[in-house]
Amino acid sequence: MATLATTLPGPRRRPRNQPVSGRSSLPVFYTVKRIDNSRLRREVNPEQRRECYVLLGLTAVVFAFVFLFAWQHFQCVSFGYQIEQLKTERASLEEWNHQLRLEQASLADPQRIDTLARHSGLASPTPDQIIRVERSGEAPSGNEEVARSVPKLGPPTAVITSGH
Amino acid sequence: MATQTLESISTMMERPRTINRSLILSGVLALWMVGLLVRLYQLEIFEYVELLSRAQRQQQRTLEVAPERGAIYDRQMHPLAMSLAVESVYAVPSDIANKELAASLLAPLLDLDRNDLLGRLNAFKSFCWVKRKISSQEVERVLDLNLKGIYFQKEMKRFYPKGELAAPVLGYVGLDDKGLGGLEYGFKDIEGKPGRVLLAEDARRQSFQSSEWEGHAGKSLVLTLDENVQYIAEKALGQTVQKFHAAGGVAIVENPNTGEILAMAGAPSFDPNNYTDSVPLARIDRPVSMVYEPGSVFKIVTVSAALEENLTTPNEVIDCQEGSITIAGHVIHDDERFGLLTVAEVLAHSSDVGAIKLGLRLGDDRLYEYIRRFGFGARTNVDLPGEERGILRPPSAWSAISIGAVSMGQEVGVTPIQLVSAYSAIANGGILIQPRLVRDVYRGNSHDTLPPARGRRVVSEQTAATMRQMFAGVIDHGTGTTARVSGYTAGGKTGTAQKIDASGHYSKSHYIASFAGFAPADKPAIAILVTIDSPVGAKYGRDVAAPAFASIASQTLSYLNIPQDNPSSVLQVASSASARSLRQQRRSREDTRTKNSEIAEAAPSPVQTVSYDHGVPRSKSGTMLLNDGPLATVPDFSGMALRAVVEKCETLGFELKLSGSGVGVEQVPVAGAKVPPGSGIWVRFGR
Repeated sequence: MATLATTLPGPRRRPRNQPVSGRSSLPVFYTVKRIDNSRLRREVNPEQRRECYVLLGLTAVVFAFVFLFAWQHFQCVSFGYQIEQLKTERASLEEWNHQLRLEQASLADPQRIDTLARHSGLASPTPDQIIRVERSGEAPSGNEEVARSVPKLGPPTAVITSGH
Repeated sequence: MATQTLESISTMMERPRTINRSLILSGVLALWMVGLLVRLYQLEIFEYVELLSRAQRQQQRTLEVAPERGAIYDRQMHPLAMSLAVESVYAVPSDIANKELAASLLAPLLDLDRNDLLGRLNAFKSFCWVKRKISSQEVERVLDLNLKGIYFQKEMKRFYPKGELAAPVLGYVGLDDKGLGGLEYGFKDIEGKPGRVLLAEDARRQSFQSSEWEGHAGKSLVLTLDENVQYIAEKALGQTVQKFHAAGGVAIVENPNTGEILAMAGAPSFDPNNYTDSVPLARIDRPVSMVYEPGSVFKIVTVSAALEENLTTPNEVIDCQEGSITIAGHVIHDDERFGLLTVAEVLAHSSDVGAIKLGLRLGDDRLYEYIRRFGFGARTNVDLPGEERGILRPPSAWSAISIGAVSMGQEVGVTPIQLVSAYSAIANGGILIQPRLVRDVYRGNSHDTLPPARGRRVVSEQTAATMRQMFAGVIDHGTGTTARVSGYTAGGKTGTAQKIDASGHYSKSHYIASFAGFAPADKPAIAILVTIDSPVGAKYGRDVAAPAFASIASQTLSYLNIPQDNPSSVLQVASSASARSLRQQRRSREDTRTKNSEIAEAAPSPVQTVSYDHGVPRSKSGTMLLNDGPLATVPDFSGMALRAVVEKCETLGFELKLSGSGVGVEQVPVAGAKVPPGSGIWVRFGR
């Protein structure tokens, strides 16, 4: 341990322990004592360290919870928007579907089809033009006379059942 | 080094001052925190309820959701009525700066009266409808105006895609989506229940959360109607009403075995999409609410009852007294002067005298009992509102002439649905089945359990079979020859009844012409009633209603793919001249019969089919050609290769039409059929 005494230049301001000017002018000596604590080791307190870790862990958990809460909240809001948008889209598509079904039903109106068919030159078949096609394995329907009144025969292709 | 030392010393010297500042800062912070906590406590605890409700008012919106009416389908699941969300325009008058300008702009676009609209805008402050349930084109036109204070709201609108088809059955709904007629009115479950939607919205009125509760859509109906059969019936009825300038008419097609109504048409009709354009008379559900004296179609009860009570047989001869009978001082005439007729012929020629004599044998009580048994005088409980009971007085209220009048279908009031049910009972073997219009009621995957079809026996199976044969005779050689159904046998009865005029007497000019029947005659698949109200130019059921019956029956049976059981009937119709000569021969035979004698063996069976050549093909011009040549038997082509089939057809002189490849799997005509040489054969090949 070394000590050093030195004389310092006059202070710019009056130190606290110096009397006010005019009262005394004694020289003041400051002693600097250098201490080397590098070889000292702080005693580890396991209890304190554990508490520190626990506190740190708890803080992390709390932070994680807060973060998760905030994250899920904002996600929830975000999903809410998406769900509402999808709901609107679904309702719109369902409405479109309804409109298409309505249009389809209107187009399939028997009266409309009848009118179109007649404009196209089609006519209702006479009873003797209607042929029930039986599978060869099926028993005859007792309807064999039908064939006799059909001189020119072919598979029934276009039969308008709603007419006259 | 010295400087550092001095600084540390200086720091040490200033520490108390720093501590003081920290304390002050901490104190300020603590105060701030306390202030925050106090404010938080005030907001969260003391003002919680008020602030929450205020926030909810700002962020949440509750909307009323109109329920979607259930759809109505035919038996093939073709939609007949369905609802769609459409826009309605409303105004917040307080938001409109210039109401006169707004009314002037909106009125022509929406086809409204300007002054009426302006009056409404001036009369209300916060809300008034401008026009409800407008078209998409109108929406676009209003949007283009970009008027402040004019808004849209979705509402459900009912659409009937088939227009007038089955309109009286379906009914119609008003502006508030309430059913006002037909099934729309009768089935309350179809309406659904209104619900609410809670919307959470942000500052930009954008929804980020919603929840729905309470409401649900209405139940959908699947009807027994078939839209094609309905169209067939409506078209035939419409043409008949138009042809005879009639006041109206009804046509009903029923499956007699199940009671399912396949078609129920009334004329005049209306378009339920624009029901306000129609007259109220057109919106009447005639098939269930029209009460009229049926006339001779009612003889189904008299003759059936007499047969069931073993008071007569089809071949018993009744003296029709040259078409005149006196009851309680009143003389009742037949249209024609008949002499001796069998009971079957009484029905075939619709002799009122013969029917009265059978009625007299039954007596008041038994006749009344059978009328009740056939369902007259009571509602059928078909699924339509507004059904009438008809008019049927008890025997105690009958006059001396009533037994005669009722026997021939007067002094009783029936509805068309009652009549067709009665004919269905004869068609199905004697069981009166409750007619049904609704096949299924469902919402989502949940189906209502509908009660099974109820029926009760009204006459024995034997009596019903006899009646069917006698009804077939009506069409074959009686008053109903105009009801012959091409390709099928059929049975039925004509009816012509005078209407009661305003003075309470039978009208000399207004009649109700009817034809009720079924086809095919042996195994009926359909029962049909056609009733025409006040035809002009003709009055008899055979001239007015019977042809419509034939048209409906022919097309419906073909559509239902019912096998033809009388292909030669086309020729029978063409050979009506020869049929007439046969009738004349029969009449001359009748003259030789002795009064009140059983001549079962001598008399021709009333249902004996006139025999015609079954092997008569038609030429291309439609002329009937008699073919006296030999018939060829169609071979069985099943399993035969194409080459073999071609060779066989060439050998036999058939014209071959083929489809597919492989071996023969299907052919028309079927193997074993007798056809004229040169006929066409269709063979389908497959593997």
